Amino acid sequence: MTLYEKIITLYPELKNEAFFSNGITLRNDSDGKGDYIYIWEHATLPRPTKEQLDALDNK
Amino acid sequence: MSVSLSLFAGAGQQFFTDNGVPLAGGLVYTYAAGTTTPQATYTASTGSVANSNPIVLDSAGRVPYEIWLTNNVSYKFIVKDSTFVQIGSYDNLTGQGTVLSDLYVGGNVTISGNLTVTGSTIQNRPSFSAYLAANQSVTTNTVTKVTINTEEWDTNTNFDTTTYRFQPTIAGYYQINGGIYATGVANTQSAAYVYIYKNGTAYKGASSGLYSYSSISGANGVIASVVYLNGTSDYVELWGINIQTGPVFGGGNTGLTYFNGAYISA
Repeated sequence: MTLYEKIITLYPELKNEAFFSNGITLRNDSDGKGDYIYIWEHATLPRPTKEQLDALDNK
Repeated sequence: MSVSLSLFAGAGQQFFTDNGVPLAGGLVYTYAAGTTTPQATYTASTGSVANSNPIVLDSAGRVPYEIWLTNNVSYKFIVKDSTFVQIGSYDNLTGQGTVLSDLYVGGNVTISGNLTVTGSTIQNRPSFSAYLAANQSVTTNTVTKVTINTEEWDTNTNFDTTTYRFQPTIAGYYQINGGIYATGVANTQSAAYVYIYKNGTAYKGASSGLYSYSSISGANGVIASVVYLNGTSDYVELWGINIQTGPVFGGGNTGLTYFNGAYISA
């Protein structure tokens, strides 16, 4: 599951939204370390915790 | 004949003996530098009329005409009195506007007038062009550095195909261009964006358009900007976002997803 998919699972209301228009930037530096949350400044939704995201790896 | 005024006795020069007496009837011989081979000088900037050789000084010890030297030629001057006794010898002299075959300057050069170059201009101005050799899978809605990994050219070896960045070693303003072919599952793309990143953060951005899941499989986003790069630590990269199912940056040839740039001014 990609980071994007995890976030959509946690926050279905973000589906079909351009993240950066909602204060969220996911980023991938193409250095083999994968996607990460670069900016999370959403007006209402709290930044997902590492535990929340890791828990979705098992689903 | 291309000539320049001699720095030695060029115009109106008056010669004297060691006792301060004008060197009336004195003689000025001109040779090719380091030799005794006579070398012609000229009476004016037209370079059409040669001086006598030797030049005979007038009664006041002055040169009767101006002395103009052939450009790109070095001279030896020998001055004698009217009885042929040598007074002085001056070697490896050139005209004040002599064209040099090579000029090496260790410091700065200031030119208040125009500079005309008939040959090639400054060498080693960095320029590069590179492209994405194969499709790059990305995550939707995620700004991702494009793995531009194949060079068309890289004049100064300033583009790195492992970090995908252009980091020139000459400071100046650079024209930087990039294009991303953002594609994926047909009819699922809502938008794609392309960015020039400078030193790891977005510097200029552009959208390929907003499609609202229109019936397309991909879109080209292009970006172009002038960017100042300091010649040491500054670098630029191509980044993009593809909001689409199964998103990729399309690669495979020089015209799909590419990144290029060139030095334009200091």
